[in-house]
Amino acid sequence: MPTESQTRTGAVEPAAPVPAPRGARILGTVLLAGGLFLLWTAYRAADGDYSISGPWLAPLVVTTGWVVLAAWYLVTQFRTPPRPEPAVATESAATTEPAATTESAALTEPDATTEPDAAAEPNATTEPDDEPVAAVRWLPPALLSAALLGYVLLLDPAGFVLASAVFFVACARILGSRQWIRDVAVAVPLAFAIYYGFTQGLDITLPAGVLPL
Amino acid sequence: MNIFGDLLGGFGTVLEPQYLLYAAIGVTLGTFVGVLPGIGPALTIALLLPVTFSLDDPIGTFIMFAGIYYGAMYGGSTTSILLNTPGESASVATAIEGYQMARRGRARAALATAAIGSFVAGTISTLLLTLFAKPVAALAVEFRAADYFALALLAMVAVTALVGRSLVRGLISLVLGLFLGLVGLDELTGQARFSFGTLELLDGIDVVVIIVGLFAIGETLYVASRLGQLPDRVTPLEPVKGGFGWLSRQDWARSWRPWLRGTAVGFPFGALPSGGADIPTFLSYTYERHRAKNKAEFGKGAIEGVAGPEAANNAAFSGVLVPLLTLGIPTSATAAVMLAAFQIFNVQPGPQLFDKSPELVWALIASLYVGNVLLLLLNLPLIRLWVKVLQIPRPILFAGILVFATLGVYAATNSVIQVLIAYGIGVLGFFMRHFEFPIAPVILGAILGPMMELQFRRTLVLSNGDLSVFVTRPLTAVLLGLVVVALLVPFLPRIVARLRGRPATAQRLAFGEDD
Repeated sequence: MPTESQTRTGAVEPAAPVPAPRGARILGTVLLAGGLFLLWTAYRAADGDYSISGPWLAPLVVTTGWVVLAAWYLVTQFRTPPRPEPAVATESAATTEPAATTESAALTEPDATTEPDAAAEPNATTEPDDEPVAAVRWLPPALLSAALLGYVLLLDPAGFVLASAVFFVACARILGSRQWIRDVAVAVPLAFAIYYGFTQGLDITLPAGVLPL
Repeated sequence: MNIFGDLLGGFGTVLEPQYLLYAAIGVTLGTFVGVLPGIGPALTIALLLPVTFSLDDPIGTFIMFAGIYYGAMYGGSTTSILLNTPGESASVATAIEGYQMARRGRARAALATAAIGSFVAGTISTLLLTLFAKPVAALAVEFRAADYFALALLAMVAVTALVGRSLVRGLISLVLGLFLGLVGLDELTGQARFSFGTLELLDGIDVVVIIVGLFAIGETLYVASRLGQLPDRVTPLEPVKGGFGWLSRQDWARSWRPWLRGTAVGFPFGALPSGGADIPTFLSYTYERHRAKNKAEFGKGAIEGVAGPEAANNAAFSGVLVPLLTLGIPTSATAAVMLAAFQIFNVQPGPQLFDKSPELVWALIASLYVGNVLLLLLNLPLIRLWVKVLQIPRPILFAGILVFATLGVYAATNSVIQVLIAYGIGVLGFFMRHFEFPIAPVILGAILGPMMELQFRRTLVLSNGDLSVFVTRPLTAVLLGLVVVALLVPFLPRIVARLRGRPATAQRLAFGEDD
């Protein structure tokens, strides 16, 4: 199925083939499955209580809407994108799209070229969403999520100051910082400042943890 | 019914030294956080909410919030102009011309026309708010549950349909928000909905958790996936060239009409349920470009293209306060956060607010005037400080945002599970941004959904389960008709443009993305 639609897409626009919106299809499928699960949850919990002023009308309406919309979204991802009009596309992008400013800036300043803008252009004319062509890196957000998880789990046992300082340095590292000393020099005073600011100044309790604070 | 007596009373409160201090703190904090790239007013307020938990003075807190909001807006325009990273879609229009002006050595002029234009627009629109708020509240007393239901539906659908590029994606965002709003105990019957047998979910998901998750966590994860693709060079300020307030005589001559026109567009659009400042800023930009004598200058740094949208942005905020204060209906993501802040202090905005807590309302309105003046005094002289803030290295900045986001949720809920929920919503927000789903409908859905359901059921209880009340009551029927219109509007420009044989370029711009 995906290959077939891919070739069809290629036939429509041979010069610049639209990438298969694989991610969007996965998303659509996940949304649909999630919606069905929630609809089923609501249906089971309602247990036959469909009175319009009862507590289960809204959940059933919302989850039904979810399922319908997710299906609609999924279908648009499998449909061949409408034939783009190249002349029109460039003109509209050049005159009005905010991307165009970055683009014109890029002419004089090559470093400023931002990939998402270039990728956003096909989206301007074709309705279904393609994954942005730009190099999307999945590792940093995944690592960041893991760091967040570690942070919140450490918060109570290790205390706010220690957990925050460690997390801060790790997070800066994941986001591309290579200056350990600077990061630590920011992280430690910041963590202490927040801790004392909130516990002393604003009377909000934060876990003290292992440090004798 | 003496509005100006009430307003004077408000000024009497606000001008007390302690409240002036609150206003000054709010304005400074708001600008500081708003200047940080990628942070809009909604997140600014959400992140700063914990700061106010220990204050037991609602008046002082709301004065601070007004300051924070204005500050965040000013800060956002600074970031848009100097760094070309608008923190919210309402600043996108400013960034188009503002950044170009800055690149051509006119950063000060751009910042000045934004700041002074915001001041002019803020003052005029606050005056309009002063005049309109009480009469609208008096009208709103007539509103019944059915009308509130229709109005909430209209506010939600209008934002979803008018803001954002794709109706399906907007509606999915909305449904997501509605679902998040459903989690927890049903208010009327006490039945647990979507709590999956856990105690933690019985209390529902706090709006603060949703906002911090979507904006702070989601945004940072999104940035992490696109490291090195963001502009991080701050355009340097040119030396002061003279002229009053950094603007030459010619700049003033070119700015003042766009300021007034921006105000004229911004306030009504803000007051109507149409998604706050996104549409008026783009309308103002488009209009100024069409009117400009020298069209070629647009895209290369035309001052009108900064003056108009910035004025519209500011005026829209006062406009948004009209339905928020008089009806309790938020029409933008930021207004939804403001409503959450109100609810923390057990203040329920609505027609009764003007009778129940007049001193609070009028102090809030008076503080808008004061906040505007404070900002003008703060923003331009302190611009070097704000540029320094802009130069904070990205890894440090986003690490800090994550720490503060975690702190914000933890301080608000005192629960690790809620922090985890915020993270989960953040991951969701990351995928939403990746696939270009708008964020604002989620927040409006989460806050308006429960309100809508309550009014719907209340209506049916009053009518003994008779659904026809929704069409027989004229006001309700009109509002529900507008919902249908709002759903059709996004398709109108396309149809009209097709008929004229042109692509819908002008309207496309009006579809801002997330908030």
